Amino acid sequence: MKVEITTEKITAGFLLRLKGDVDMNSSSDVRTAMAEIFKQGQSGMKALLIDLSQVRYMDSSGIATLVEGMQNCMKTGARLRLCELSPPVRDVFELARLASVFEIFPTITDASSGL
Amino acid sequence: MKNFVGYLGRAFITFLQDLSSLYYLFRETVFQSFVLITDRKKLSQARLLTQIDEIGTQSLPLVLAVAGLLGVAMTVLISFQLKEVGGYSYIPGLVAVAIFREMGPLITALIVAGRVGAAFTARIGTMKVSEEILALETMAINPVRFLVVQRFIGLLFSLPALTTLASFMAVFGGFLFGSTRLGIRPDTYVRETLDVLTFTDVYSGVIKAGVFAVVIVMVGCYRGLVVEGGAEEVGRATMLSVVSSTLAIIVLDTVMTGAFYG
Amino acid sequence: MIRAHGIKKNYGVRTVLNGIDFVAERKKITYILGSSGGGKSTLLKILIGALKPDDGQVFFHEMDITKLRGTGLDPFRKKIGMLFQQGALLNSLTVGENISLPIREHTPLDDNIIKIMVKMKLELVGLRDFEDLYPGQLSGGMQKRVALARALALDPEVVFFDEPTSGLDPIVSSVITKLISDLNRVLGITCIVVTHAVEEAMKIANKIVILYKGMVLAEGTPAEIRGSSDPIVQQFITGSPDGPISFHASSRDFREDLLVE
Repeated sequence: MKVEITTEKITAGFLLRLKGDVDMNSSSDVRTAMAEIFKQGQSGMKALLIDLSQVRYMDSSGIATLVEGMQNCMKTGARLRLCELSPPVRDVFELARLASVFEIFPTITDASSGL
Repeated sequence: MKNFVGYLGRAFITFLQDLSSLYYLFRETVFQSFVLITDRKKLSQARLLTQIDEIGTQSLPLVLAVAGLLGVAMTVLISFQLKEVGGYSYIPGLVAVAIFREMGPLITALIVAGRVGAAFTARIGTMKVSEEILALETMAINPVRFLVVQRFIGLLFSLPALTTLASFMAVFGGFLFGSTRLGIRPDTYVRETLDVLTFTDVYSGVIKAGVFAVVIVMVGCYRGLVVEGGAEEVGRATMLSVVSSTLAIIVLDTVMTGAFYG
Repeated sequence: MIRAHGIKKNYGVRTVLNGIDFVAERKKITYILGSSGGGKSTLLKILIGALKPDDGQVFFHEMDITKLRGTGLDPFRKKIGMLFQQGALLNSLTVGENISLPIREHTPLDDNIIKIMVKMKLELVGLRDFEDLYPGQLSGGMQKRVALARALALDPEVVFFDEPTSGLDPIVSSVITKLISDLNRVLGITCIVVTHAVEEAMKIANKIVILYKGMVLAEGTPAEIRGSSDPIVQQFITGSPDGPISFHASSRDFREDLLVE
């Protein structure tokens, strides 16, 4: 199953909504979308929010893609925030001991506050 | 007597089985080589240059030393025979042709079979007994492409190059002896050599080297791939590998020498 | 799901497997227990398609893998991982290269992504600092953990374990056992473990299959196995030297063997 990606411009930066499964076949699409965002919002982008509520499955290539997004955000001084992780995806983050690496928020509203 | 016939029969059957397995391995290797060179991503990971370096560059000192001494020895022997008839002027051409066509390819191939072919068997055999090859298969990685192809391509480039260098070195050895001890003038020696030596002499040696390269790689890798058991079996396979590739090289050398002159 | 049906295998005149039937349910942990030399390794090789049985089928979903040859097995093999008893890491590659190898082979992922994935897999087995070392520089237990990281490289659906804890100290053993249980619980990986470690099986298995003399002697949940009235099963799980399973492998009487020519 392919992943659907929508990019939204918000006041603090960008909101990326993912829907579907992020796996070895689809994670490169997510990577392309993120690269596009970094190109557009080179300076002045304060944050990139990623809405994962519609993601039921994410494999390690998907997580690695998010980690790379985090690396890029650090370079430009922006923040990467993940929101609304479904329980199975959250478990994967916990097992990979990445729950503490990312800023994870229960809702988009929570994630956009304080930026 | 009956036992001996039975032994011979069994040995012959094993030989035929090995030969047909070698043929399949060769076919798969050629096929996988094409797969590799048409896939740029995999080609960049294949470390072909490392292989050429390991096989070629590292064998170079030994090969050159042996070749140089061989050139001297041949010139000494030939000069003894020709002394009686006063035919020193034949020496440069005779030595050069014998070396480029016969001794250069043969001696280089034998050294490489002992040094590199044995290492192939030992390496791949060890991987076989430690289940590394089964692991590759389980990861859906073709072991022939992963292990044999790079060695195949590496040696296919290295051995003809080594052979040509060895032949030049041997001829140079002959030149040194001829010009310093036999009283042949250096410029005469060079001119005589170039007069007699033809392009065919050089490339027939290169063709031989190509064939020997295939033999060394195929026998070396095959003996490694079929090892069953433990470390002891790897040792036995390595010995078998050197024996069988040496034998195959000498037989094929005779056949090719006959064919090129026939 | 892996389903074995009527697996038979002979080596020469010796029958190793004589009609094995069992089902390893999806997203469950199945332990295959048996005594040493009881055909466990042979069965495992048949399950991963490395060895053809003389008779019988192995189904992965609806695909009979015993019918597949050569590259036909690739789609199956890309969905499974295998932890070999001795690790079977490639000694010429570093730890990191060993783990990235299957990812590079089978996915178009970017180098940087692969690098991050390798770090994540190594973190999973607790060996993140060892990426640039060669397998030869690691202890046996560490090699096995790296091998597990490699088996997990492509996020497989099913992972096969060949004696995952044999030869390891008690702490590393329980770490690996916990890892198997976590992988199953969190990632939903179907685990098939071949071993003779009974206690470990009792702790984490959803289902235990006991092999004896090339057949399935018993199968069930750990509780069912523990409650079995079969004296052979009881002897097996308690590890008692006395019982129906004889330690003496020879059939001839000792006295007869010594005294009668």
